[in-house]
Amino acid sequence: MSEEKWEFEEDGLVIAASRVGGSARVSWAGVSDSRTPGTFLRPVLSDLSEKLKGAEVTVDFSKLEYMNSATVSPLINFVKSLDSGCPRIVVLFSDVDWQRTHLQCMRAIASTLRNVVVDSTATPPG
Amino acid sequence: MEARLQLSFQPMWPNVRKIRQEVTAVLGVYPQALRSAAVMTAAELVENAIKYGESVPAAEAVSFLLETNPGQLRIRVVNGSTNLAGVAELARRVDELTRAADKQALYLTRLQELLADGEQTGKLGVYRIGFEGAFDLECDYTDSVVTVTATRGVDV
Repeated sequence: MSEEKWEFEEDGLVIAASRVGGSARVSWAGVSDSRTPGTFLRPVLSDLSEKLKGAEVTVDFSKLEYMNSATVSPLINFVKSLDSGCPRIVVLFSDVDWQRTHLQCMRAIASTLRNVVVDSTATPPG
Repeated sequence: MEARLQLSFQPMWPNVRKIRQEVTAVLGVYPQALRSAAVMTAAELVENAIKYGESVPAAEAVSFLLETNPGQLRIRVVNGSTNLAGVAELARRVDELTRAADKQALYLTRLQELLADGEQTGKLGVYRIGFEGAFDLECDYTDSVVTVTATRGVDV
């Protein structure tokens, strides 16, 4: 089964995605601090949501070093969009302070979604 | 171990990234958690000043001050504005944050609004400063000059 890969980059933010059959991964890295991040993110994430439909998706934010508050809306709506078309979504944050805060918030939001699990990359497997 | 950073700059977006770098550097000896909160708070306040500010006689440029005193970190951003409705909205959100017993709940409510309507953006930064950054905010508006001051305790 062949692997499909996509990568999007904008002013310090890199979103790398891959899919092999029913399994997919989306990794965010770098910084998202543009004035209108939605201008770049919304079409990219909408496109990705379509490409990943039906897959079990891991969305990894642990390498995201910084994001401004304007990034939050496109980010959470990407997870919501995946939730409507994917059977399982695992959202990962790292254990650094600001990411822990967003992990807590995403967990609270996930309780209103059907297929989203939020976890920390610091959590031991098992 | 006191830190101080004072800058004045034109309201241009690249200055947000510069502020983050400068705050990171000046707070280099402080704990990572405090530094991270201060960087985010400084950037959010400067973003607002650049987005909504304008040059007025009493504040031709954006002014930024970060200083630590024993037990306290203070960040102050000053910009001009003649947008009375915009300033009133900012003051309302700062007041709401100040009075909130549960700042996380305030932040989560706004997240739920953004989730319910994906076309909505913004109006999250003030709550983020209070919840994620654990800063208290004050807002003053005098002679078309907006002054927003963020303070939090420093346990060093």
